[in-house]
Amino acid sequence: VRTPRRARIWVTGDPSRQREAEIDRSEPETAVLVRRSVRIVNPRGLHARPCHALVSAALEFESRLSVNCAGREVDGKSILSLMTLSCPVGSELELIAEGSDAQALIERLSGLVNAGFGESD
Amino acid sequence: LTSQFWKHFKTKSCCIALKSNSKADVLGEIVGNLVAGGALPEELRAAALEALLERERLASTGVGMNVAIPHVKLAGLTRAVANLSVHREGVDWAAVDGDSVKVFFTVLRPDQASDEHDPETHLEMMRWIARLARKRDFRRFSTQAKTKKELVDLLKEMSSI
Repeated sequence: VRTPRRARIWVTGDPSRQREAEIDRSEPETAVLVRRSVRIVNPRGLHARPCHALVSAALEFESRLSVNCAGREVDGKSILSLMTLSCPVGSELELIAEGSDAQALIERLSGLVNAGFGESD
Repeated sequence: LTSQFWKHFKTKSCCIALKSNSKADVLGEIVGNLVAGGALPEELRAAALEALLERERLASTGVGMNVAIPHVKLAGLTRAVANLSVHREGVDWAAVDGDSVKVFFTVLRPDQASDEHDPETHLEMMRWIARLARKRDFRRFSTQAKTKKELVDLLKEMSSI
């Protein structure tokens, strides 16, 4: 018998809603859905190496991950899928994670994107 | 737009059964085939190999699903050069999913725009390659190809993907 999810919380980038996520973290079995929009800042956009960095990090988490760019949503744990998105510098990515470690996954990925994946050219 | 991308792959330089079994040797074999097939000038051989090895040191080009896309800029080129090669058994490539790599899309591109190289079109080609590589059928057929011509025909057949 499948255990029903006790809560399904949507957390946005809005800091006033972060508390909901913190409350949720105290209950590990609860599946959380976390969405956050981030902006691509590295000049070359989401090309192969940033896709690799994103997926390598995402694979360390058990939550499912989708990435939406300009209305197209793909599996965030597949480099090939991410490469089919056209995400130049300045474009907005929506990260959508679902699972017990969704919040941590989103924090980690936001950090990577905001740091331009360590790329300056 | 995507319908012409297969033309970047010269049949003679592609390979249906790579023999090497390490990153350095496989890349050396692919670059050697590009030179032998007339797709890459001999004088760019060393620089091409060094650029590909350097890229692997940055992060593996193994993108999962038994596919790698080694892809670098190379000064001295006037137009992009692409190669499709298959390793029947699979090579350890430190790929993101840990699986070995059987299908190699190697792409060398000029370091600046020219009449024969439009960076935007090039990005579109890379997305086309990613879409192709995601197709289970493409991976199955390419790893079973019996001739180089079959490999390039497959690219042509799936050119509008």
